[in-house]
Amino acid sequence: MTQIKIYQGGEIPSLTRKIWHTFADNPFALAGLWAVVALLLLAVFGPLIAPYSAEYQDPRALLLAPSWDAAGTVEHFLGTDDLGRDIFSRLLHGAHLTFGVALAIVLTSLVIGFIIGSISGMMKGLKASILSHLLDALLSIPSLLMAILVVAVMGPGLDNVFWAVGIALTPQFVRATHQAIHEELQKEYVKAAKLDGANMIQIFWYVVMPNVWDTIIIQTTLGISAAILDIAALGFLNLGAQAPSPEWGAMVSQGVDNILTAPWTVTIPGGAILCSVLAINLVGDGLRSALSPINN
Amino acid sequence: MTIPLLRVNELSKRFYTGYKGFKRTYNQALHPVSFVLNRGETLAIVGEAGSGKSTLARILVGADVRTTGEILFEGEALELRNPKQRCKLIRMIFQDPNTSLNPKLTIGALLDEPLKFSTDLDIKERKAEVTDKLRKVGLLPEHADFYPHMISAGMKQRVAVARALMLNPKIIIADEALTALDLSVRSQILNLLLKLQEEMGLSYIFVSHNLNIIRHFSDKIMVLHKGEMVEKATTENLFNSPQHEYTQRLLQQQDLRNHKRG
Amino acid sequence: MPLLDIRHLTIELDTPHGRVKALERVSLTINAAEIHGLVGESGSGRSLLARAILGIPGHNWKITADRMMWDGHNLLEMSSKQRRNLMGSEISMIFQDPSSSLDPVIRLGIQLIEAMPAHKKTPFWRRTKKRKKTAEKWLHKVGIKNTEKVMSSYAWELSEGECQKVMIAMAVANQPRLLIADEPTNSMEVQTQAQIFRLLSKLNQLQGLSILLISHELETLSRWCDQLSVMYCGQIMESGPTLEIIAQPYHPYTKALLGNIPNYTGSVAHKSIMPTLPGSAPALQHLPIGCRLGPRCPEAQKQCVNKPNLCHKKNRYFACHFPYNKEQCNDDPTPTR
Repeated sequence: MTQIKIYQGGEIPSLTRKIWHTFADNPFALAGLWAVVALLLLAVFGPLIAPYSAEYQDPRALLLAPSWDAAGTVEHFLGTDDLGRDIFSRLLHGAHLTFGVALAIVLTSLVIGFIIGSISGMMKGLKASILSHLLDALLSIPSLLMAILVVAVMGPGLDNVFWAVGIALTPQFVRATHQAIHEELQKEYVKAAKLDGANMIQIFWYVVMPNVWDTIIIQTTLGISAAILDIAALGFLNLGAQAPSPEWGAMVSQGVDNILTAPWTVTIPGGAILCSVLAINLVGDGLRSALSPINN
Repeated sequence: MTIPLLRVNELSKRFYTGYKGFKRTYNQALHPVSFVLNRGETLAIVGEAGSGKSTLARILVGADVRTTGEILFEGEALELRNPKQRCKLIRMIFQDPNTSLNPKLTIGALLDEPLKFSTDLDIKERKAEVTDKLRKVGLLPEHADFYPHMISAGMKQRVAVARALMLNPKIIIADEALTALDLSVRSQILNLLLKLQEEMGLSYIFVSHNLNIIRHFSDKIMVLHKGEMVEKATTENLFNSPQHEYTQRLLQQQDLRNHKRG
Repeated sequence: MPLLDIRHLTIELDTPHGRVKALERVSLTINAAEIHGLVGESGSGRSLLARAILGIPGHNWKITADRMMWDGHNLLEMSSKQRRNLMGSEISMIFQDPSSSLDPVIRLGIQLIEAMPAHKKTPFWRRTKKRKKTAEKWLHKVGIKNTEKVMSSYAWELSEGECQKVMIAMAVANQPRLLIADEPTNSMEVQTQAQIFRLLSKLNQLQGLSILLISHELETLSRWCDQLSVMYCGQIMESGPTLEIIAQPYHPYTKALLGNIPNYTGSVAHKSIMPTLPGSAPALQHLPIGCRLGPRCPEAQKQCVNKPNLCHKKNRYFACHFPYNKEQCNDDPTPTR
């Protein structure tokens, strides 16, 4: 009865392809994506391509300036620190630590937070209320402070940083998931699905989840940038990765003594932290703009 | 005497609204109503907001639980809380096609849901069923790959009708399904419903406040006012000689004989 | 002299698919103290027309017209400051969803007083009290009895009907000459709708206020309007006195619209299939050339690829090559583009 004329070029783009097109139209988001991919590759392959090992000390080349300065050489591309260690190699080794551990933390918090959040989101009544209020109380403590508290209890070291930052990030995932699921349950198509005879698990997986993935993805990118900053901050405060470790925050704190004579020992690791957080934020922002017109 | 398709006896609903002193207070949303619906008939439920018509629709389709009364489907009582049994017998078309379709699922997936949740058919049979229902409501099988935001409001409401047809129910409840549509789209959907009623022998329960369309479309009418059934009659009798004064007032307001500034 | 005289208004939009003529050669004439109804389905461009009259175009619009006169003044040549002055004092508008057109965090009394005209003649120490009194007077005029309660409540505490009455009070307090009502009763109950329309009719009779009623419900418009214009997909199909159009429509689209209202004089059987146009309104990207009803029109022939001119017959206008009255349009059809 209806006359359909399909004028499009033939295919209907699926939702993921549409999101990719919107995302790729934004040059900043695409640049951020390239940077994130580069960081991921560095985190995995960095230690293999570094010219020197992280602890190798060259007593002849103490506090050497980076290669673009007159006094520097190309062998030590980004200069050396006060113990003669090559900064470039230490950065590559540290990428593995800072970035890699951040990803691991976020993935773990994501899984645990998602499970707790979905259970509490799908429940109604007193039980859900208690759980969400408990987690709201945890959310009121800033994540860095929470991490410091956990490290104060468990002692310094990169392993304990994993638990500290993980515990600090989980309530955010729980809250975001719980909120998103709770909001979805008010929608009319959930009522329609209930009238179709679906039980709670089917509603959760087939009806609610496709709408909640967006929030989770956005929360993940926010979480990664928060995790990187927290790990670096803890390393700077000597509560995280300890002294000879090439973790970026620890590198910054080791270079602080020489900040006036050899500023590159502080600025270059700081710049690396800045670039990685900026890249993640650009990707997260691009994703949010690409996903929001679909939501409207 | 044949058993009627649906017989409702003294159905009522009250909502619990809190404590006053030490007694629990209730809000009687629906006073006891009774009616009968036969195969191939259309029953219209008319009333203003707060008259309990949406409550009645929701109780019949299974979204709310009744307080008293019984519902007899072909002579057998329907259980209180059994959506799986109910969804094969009575289904609903929702009012707003924009919010009742899941925006992240394709139309094929949307129509597949009732089959997935309530039947044991395998994938090929489900796909065939979806294509068959799409054809019945006037859409093409290619539409199963579209997303809801790509189609117009009229087509969305057709998808809602297709979803209501999915488990081959005998009764379909249309809860103000036509009020959100433009005039010509409304007529198209009405024609579709009439055609389906003839082909498949469906019965409709139509909840609305537009007396004009109801007069054309329904066999019996029930008027509700503040939760009570004020009048129940066939269409002809109600429009030609309304008994209750509330009905008379309603008819007067919608009197459509081209009164200028009536 | 007509109050509002628009001739061949065209609005072009810049879309990702190119330049699209959202409104094409629309003509509209409103006289003083007349209720003019504009009927069109969603997507026909009625709200675009209202915004163009008011002078609040979107950022990618291009408005061209042969004539756009308000009370003898040319609207196209006015500066934006002059247009803005017109907007508050001579033309006002009420919108579709009244409770979302009011600020939800400010009490209604304050918003209402804000909209009252500034009494320049009273000395400043009595001004606020005077404005409050004027506000209460207008609330009484639109039919709200308990003004104290309404003025001290928030927008979400009142029903839709009361909110719309407050909006109407705010709109007519400055004694405008034209009130544009864009689907004022879309989400309301039947009785509230009747109240609002009776109020508008009363304002029209007592104060000589012209009203442009935009809606998609032909039934309500045919009850309350003196003149009717039928719009489809950005083009005016027919225009003229309501009673004549309802009794004898000239344009196939108007006939189809009227066919959607079941009539009970016995010609249409109970539970029969209603006559409708097949298909649905085209999207902006796929507008047909010439008369935009072409693909769906039962009378369409090859000539309809050229857009018909608006013919004038007595006091009725229609744009069709094959109308239902006996004599055809004598104007030559202008080729498009």
